[in-house]
Amino acid sequence: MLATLVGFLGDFDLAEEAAQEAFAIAAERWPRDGVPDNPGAWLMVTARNRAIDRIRRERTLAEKARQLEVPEVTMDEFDDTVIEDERLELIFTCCHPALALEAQVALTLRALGGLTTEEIARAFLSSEEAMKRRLSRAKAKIKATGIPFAVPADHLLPDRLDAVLAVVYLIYNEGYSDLPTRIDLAGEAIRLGRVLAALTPDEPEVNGLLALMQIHHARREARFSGDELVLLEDQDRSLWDAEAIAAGRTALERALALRGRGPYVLQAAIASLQAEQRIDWNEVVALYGQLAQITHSPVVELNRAVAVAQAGSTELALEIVDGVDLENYQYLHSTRGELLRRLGRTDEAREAFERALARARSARERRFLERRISEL
Amino acid sequence: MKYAMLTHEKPGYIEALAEDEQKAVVAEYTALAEDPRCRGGAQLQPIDTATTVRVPGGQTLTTDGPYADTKEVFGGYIVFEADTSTRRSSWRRGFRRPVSAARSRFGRWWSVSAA
Repeated sequence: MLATLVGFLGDFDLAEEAAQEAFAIAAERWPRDGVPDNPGAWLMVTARNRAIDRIRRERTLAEKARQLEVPEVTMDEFDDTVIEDERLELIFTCCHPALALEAQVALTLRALGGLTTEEIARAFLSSEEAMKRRLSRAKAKIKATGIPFAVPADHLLPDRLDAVLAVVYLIYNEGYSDLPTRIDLAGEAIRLGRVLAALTPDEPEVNGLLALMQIHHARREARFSGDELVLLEDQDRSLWDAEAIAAGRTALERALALRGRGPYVLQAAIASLQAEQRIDWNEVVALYGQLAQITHSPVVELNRAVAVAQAGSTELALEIVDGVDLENYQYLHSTRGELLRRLGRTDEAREAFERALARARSARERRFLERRISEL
Repeated sequence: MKYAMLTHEKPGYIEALAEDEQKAVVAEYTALAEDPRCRGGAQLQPIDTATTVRVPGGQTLTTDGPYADTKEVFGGYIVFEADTSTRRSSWRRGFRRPVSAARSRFGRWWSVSAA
């Protein structure tokens, strides 16, 4: 719903407020008057009309006045089947190349309503204040320069793809990282990934991203026992979704056949290897090496260290980790803790896990780390 | 002949200076602006609001991700808060060890090469 509103209004804040007003009215009226036959359409119409009212009242730019010529919308015009594509439309719309890439992605994550500012900040390895500033500047720029928001013509889609893929990836990541609480986000990202793959079937990275998401998602039932984290080696493989793994591998094959070598294809290849009975860790290390070369990301380097440890070189892994500067990153410390534990350096391991604990963001994470510490 | 002088302020730089240093910086700018030879000045918006020219071949962002190694193999969740200055230095340090070439099962398609 927000998609259409943003496209219509060209203003995120206005769209968000109109949507909220519509929900508030619904909360008040529906219990009293009954839920309308087509609640989605009702909300849309209400939000749109509220926004139009506000614009008229505020008498803003001529651009908005142009919008007022559109006759007020009635119920019949909405069709639920467009909803799924609508979210993808929003993503493409918001990923406007006039904005810096990070701004495109951050703004879209915010507009979609799936992630809070704090969650977006974490995704970008940033602070909430910095992300807030980035978002306001981007919104201000949109207003000031009158960037048109509309679904781009087909030939412009490739230009937007990097940002769109990053958005879907980060939505998936939020779902993956906060399973089982945010499993809906993971599912949402995969749906978007499928629509995207149907739209641009010959883009290797699109297929790579879909593959990587599907393969990771296959383990969703096995990653938690009750509320506790279950490590990969301890997971009950009968709970893995074999169809999802197969689908992911098909997408990966397609990406490779299209000569894909980019970051998502690489991550999908790693994921595919990690879904095997016996994991070839040397293979994984090699792929992480490629990934590190392309992305220059310390997060990638940290994960490469884990793979190096799994391949048998714990000391080397620790050296790699000590060369990575991610002091405020919980995983840096939990990784160090595990490596030190394996090397028998118990006191140092405890210190490292304590540091990870201090940075943990949920009770579940804290419990896992506390268990680690008590097992030392 | 007119000359343009471009100064770029690293975001947060001035705020991080001591008070007397900040005053000195402001004084310098003021002196420049008040010099009769200076015809005008304008402040550009912060970098986020600049228009980006798309680089062919795409850009990558440094972000968190669904990496099973730190999250499932070793366990835990990702939380990261760092300012941009540490983020920039960290990728240089991430390359202390050269990436080694290794045979890959995907060898038919990949050409894995040393850094």
